[in-house]
Amino acid sequence: MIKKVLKQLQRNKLQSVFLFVPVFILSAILFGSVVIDTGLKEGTKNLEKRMGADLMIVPQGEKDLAGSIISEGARGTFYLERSVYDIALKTKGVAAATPQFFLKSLAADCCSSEVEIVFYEPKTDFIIHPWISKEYEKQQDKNEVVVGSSINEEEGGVIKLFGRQYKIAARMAKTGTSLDSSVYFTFESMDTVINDAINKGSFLTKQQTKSDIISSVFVNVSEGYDESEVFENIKNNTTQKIDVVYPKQIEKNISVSIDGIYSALHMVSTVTLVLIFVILICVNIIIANERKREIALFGIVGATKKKIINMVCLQSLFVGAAGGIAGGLLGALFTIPFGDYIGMKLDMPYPGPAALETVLLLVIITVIAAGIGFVTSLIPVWRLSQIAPYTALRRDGD
Amino acid sequence: MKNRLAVSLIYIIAGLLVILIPTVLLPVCGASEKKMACHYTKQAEIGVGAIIIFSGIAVLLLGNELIRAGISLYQAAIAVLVVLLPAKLTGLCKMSEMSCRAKTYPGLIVIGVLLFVVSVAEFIYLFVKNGKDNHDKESA
Repeated sequence: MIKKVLKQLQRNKLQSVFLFVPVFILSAILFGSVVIDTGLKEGTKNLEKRMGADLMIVPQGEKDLAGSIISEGARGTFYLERSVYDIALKTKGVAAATPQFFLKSLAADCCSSEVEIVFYEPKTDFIIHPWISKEYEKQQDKNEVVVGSSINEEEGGVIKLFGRQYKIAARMAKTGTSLDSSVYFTFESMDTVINDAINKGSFLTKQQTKSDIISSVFVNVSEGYDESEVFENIKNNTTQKIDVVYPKQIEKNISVSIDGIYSALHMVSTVTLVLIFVILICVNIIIANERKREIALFGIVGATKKKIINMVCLQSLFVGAAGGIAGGLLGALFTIPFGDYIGMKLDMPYPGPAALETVLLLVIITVIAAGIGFVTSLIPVWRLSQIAPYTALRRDGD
Repeated sequence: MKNRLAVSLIYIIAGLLVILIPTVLLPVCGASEKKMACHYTKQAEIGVGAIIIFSGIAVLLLGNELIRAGISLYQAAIAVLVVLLPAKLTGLCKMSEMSCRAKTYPGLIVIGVLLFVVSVAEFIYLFVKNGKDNHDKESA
């Protein structure tokens, strides 16, 4: 049967092309919109992971920059005295607090463009760890680093920064932002890294070379305490001028703006599916009319109605499947390599879908295209099989 | 003739795109004092693009199907080179947000893959057609 169907397809090349082209183009569009949708969802998931703090305490006037660091992975340098962290730890209503120090984006041996150097405290950290793609067993020491997903490692899992080799203890999950090109040291390594950077000719301000400074304190508030009240308490206890950013609030705002993009993508997918269906119904009706005599002849030579319906529907199913695969591959060819660019243009975290997800999507779209091909050919060919061979063979006007 | 013209046109357009993507359409990172890896990839792609255009013109001028099949076969190898140059041979900047990684490389992947598919399909078509023609001649 399959051989016969393939022969028929070869014989009716033009009709096959008319069926194939719309399925091919629309499957490419469908695949593209679903891939972008999936990629954005993955990005939002990562965003939730790294926004695991109720408060981010920063120097006064740096609120906006701190917000961009969280949401878009922007780079920025601002500094506080470490005493703010010590005060936060002692403040009532603080469940957990951890400091971070953003040194600067610096040119490093590992990479042809600058990397963001960040210091954190592994013992108290609850920001970096949830975001690590593969958890490591032991505590990170001063000769080890945690790197962003796009930092390339050398042989043996090491990275060279300012002339010194560091072992890569863990790698972060992809975020689709410039945070992917950050390197995270513990505070223990701070003096060594700063001295090495200066010796290698990097310019650092006087403030950046102090050992008792940090950039921000991430705070989780105990249950039953109000976030703004806790911040006010910290503010009243310190002489430093500080401001606050609410990371979880930022995440909510991003989710709202992503919802608009989701709605647009869902609309594109739905319209594409409806279009595939409508176009294939029309094309199949035209093809069935064109093949009226051929189908009547099948009946005359003894083919049963069931056999005729099966054969024509299988032809449409095969062409639909081929269009689905080819269109899906074309969609993948355009949307997957351009993932980083899409993220940059949408100004959203966009890590793109995983390989397994992509294959699964391709299979689903192929099955949908084949199914629509089969169903849309069913009605016209069934109608045609009901016409008596004599009527079908008669030319219009006879 | 129709096939020859269409394939030749595809090769010439693909060659032009291989030259224009890293230079004009989706350009690599801006030149600074220190030339980065993507600069050399751009130079290499200009040369590769010129070879693809030259092959396209050759397909248009040569009537022999076996020679055209041969050209398509090496065009497929050149298509692999279009992607391999930025991926492995000359390389690109290492950060994902750099222009060469975010724009130029994906553009070259798209052109490289499409050129590879067309070249292989053309090679198979011409090879099978040539075999059939020979068989028909022998039968006659």
